[in-house]
Amino acid sequence: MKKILVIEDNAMVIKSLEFKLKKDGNDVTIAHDGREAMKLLKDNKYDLILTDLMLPFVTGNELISYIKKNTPDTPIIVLSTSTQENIIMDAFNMGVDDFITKPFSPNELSLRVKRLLIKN
Amino acid sequence: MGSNLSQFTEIASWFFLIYGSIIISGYLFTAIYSLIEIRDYKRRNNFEDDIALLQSLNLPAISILAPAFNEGLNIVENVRSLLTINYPSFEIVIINDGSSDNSMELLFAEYELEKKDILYHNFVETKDIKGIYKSKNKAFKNLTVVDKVNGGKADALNTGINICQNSVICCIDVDCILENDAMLKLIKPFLNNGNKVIASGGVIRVANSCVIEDGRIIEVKLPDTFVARVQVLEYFRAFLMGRMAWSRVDGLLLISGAFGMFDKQIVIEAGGYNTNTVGEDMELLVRMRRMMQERDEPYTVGFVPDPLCWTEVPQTWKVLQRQRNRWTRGTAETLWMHKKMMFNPKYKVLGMLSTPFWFFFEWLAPLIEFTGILFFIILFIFGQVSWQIFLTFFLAVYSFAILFSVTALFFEEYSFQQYKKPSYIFRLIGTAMLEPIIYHPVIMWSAVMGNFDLLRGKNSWGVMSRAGLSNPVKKQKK
Amino acid sequence: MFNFENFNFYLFLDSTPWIMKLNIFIALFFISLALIFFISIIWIRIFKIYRNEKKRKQQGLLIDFLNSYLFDEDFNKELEIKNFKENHLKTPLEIKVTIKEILHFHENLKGESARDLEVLFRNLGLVEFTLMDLDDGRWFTTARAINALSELSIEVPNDRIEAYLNESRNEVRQQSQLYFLKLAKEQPLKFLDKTVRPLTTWQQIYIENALKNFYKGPAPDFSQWLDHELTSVVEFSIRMIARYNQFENIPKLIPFLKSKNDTLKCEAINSLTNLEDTGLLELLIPDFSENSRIIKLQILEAVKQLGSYEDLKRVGAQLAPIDWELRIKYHNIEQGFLPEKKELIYSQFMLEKRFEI
Repeated sequence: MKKILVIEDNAMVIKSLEFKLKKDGNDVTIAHDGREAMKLLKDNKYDLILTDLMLPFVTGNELISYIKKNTPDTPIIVLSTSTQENIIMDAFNMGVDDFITKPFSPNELSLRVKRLLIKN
Repeated sequence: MGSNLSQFTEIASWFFLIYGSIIISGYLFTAIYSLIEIRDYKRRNNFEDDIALLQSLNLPAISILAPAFNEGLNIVENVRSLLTINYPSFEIVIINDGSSDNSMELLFAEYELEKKDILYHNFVETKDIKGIYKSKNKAFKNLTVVDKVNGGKADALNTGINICQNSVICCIDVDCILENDAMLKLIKPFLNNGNKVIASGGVIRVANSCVIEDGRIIEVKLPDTFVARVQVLEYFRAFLMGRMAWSRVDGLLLISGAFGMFDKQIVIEAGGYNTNTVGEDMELLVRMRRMMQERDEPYTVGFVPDPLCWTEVPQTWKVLQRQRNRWTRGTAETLWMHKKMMFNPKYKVLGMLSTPFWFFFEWLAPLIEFTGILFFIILFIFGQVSWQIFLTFFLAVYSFAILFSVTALFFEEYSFQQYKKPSYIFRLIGTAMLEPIIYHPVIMWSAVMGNFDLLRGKNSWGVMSRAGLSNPVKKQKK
Repeated sequence: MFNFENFNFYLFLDSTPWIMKLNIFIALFFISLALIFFISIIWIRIFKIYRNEKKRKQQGLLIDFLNSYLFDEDFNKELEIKNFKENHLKTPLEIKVTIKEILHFHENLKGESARDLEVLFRNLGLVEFTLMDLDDGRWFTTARAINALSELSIEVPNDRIEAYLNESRNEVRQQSQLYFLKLAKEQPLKFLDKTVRPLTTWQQIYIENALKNFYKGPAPDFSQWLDHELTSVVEFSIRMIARYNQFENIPKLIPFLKSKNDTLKCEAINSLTNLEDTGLLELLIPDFSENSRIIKLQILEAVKQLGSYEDLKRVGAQLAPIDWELRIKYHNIEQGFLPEKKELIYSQFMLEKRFEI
């Protein structure tokens, strides 16, 4: 079972991701905001991290930078409303592996998660 | 002597009666206008989603300017919280206004700052800049910290205006707590208008006693202290009733210094914040509006009634008195500097409605009230007080004060209902009943003292009257 | 003062001066108004508590229901929909919350899941309710209903919506425009031909969003609105030509570089820059100095994107020493062209600044 950390503040999106990823046979942990995520990241190791960029307390960017500093090999997928090129470029420059924009297709997301998990 | 006095009493009574009725009808109009405006606002905004906005390339980039003076205690959390604002493109400029505490060191360590050579020009004259810093960490790309020689809030904001990169600026207090969609909401007037929007203001809420964690409101609570609780009512009245109505007739004269958005170019053309007044927030907006009117360019000032910004209000009588004293001076100074506008049809709503209103009801009201009390004391000394008339008069005024507060409370219940606990209503009503007796006299006295202090400090008055619109860019240094 | 024991109200009323009567009358009036408001507050509070509780329950129910419906293969769709319809769609509030929640899900999802939600919306019989809202008569209910229909791509006979295209309320008009846009098979922006009111930035954002995320037909040729009477429509079209990479329309944008209207000129420069039109700078640089501040800034931006250091210097020669804003932009671009001279440029600028103040 792969451990996935989902960092997201929209209750509806959380439920859907949790439902879908658990159905795919993953061990899913949820962080509802950046601060909670930071705490989880300090004490745990994950096989994959799925994060939003606009989060309460701590931004997605700060989380990404923290993950890249401490566990650079953990793959990161960003799930964000932003479609602006510069925001996406910034995320890739910080080392994220994939960028999915909202509205998202849960099936496609599940595929991309699987692909990254196999690669690593 | 006796008949002279009774004639005088008669005239004075009439005067107070007429003045009172004008105030009351003014308030009634305000209430009705506000109700319509709030209802409309609620209806307009109940089906649109923000996704289109967040994905848009057309939203103007914003520079959030936050001056900080000895904020070391919370500055790291406050900055982190500002960074989490929901908006596609923004920068945060923290202006350290010569703090004597360790604010700079804290920011340096937490956000991995390094000195950057950034080109800037003093479009508005300011005190010297010691250094401009950016983060080495890409995650904090949109953070800029400016370290400067102390010069006061207005000067710090002007420094931010000179250095920031974007054409729309949002001036805030670094310790105020913003809702995460604050910028998306505040920018709306800029997008949704045919005329040029030069500024938009938002509602300030009272944060005292609320549960706050890392720069975010977790639970809204009613303040524990009476002083702060009355201000909850005051803010309802001022924002939900007052400014909402003024915004409907496009006559807003004040956008709170704690939270307002401006078109940077217009601010620069108007000369930036005035460092010689304690009412720099009101003065700036009045000057910007005056400039636009004199240029004969169509423009608007927007206002957003959602609760977007929370701030700590004074908890003690002493601090409160100091604040109100300052507000009075700010109002008086601003009105004096722009006295030319008053009753001047050239300035339309501003000249015929807004400035006279501020003059007669905001500035003059406490003085008239104070005179009324002096008058009462004189009558008392001469044994001329008709207690029955006095008591009924007091009852009428008192019941009006209650009605006014209850109406404001009704607006809040109807619109945003931030105070969820049912017991809060009763506490607020209780507060409203005590306010006219306990709180109001203190406020009135602070206002009187503010005017007194203003007259006493003739020097600063003299400097100020020279630094008006006539020579806006090159302002006198203190 | 008062003798309460033998107080006679009528006598009191007769003997009191008019001013007292007036005061008492006013006080009573205010107090009764205050009481009315107070009662309304309590009433609203009770009502809201009751309603929010119901809302919360329904939302909780829906999150589970919708997730199972969307992602659980073992979910007996037919039966569960029937159940939900019978037990949880009885009151107007339940219906309202359900519509809102499905919309909220739909906003965040695309692909197969979004299609599933649209089917669910129909199967729950919510289309009928939305149509009832449409005819409700209050503008905000109508606007909300049109919004729901277009979000979920639910087609209704055209004449049901067409009537609202010329509504006096801005919001209704906007929603009906978006409806036709989102559901169009082709020519999604036909309504622009008939538009007589300026498009606000706000409207432009939503139109663009609907075009990109909802409309599925071929992209319209935006050049057809370049001679529209409204500046805002022309501005929008110029921008869209670049967003949709309509290189064939470049020649039609060139004339706007001579436009007297700064908004259009600025937008044209911006679009041609994004389309990487090679001839652009030659048309702009020679009479750079004759432009307004906004245009000058935009030209500098074009030089940054498309030009060389030589181009930049030609613009620099036309800058006045006191054009601080432009000079800062100029030097920033210069630093980009000459990264090795970054510090030199900075200190040179600061030096000039010091002596000119």
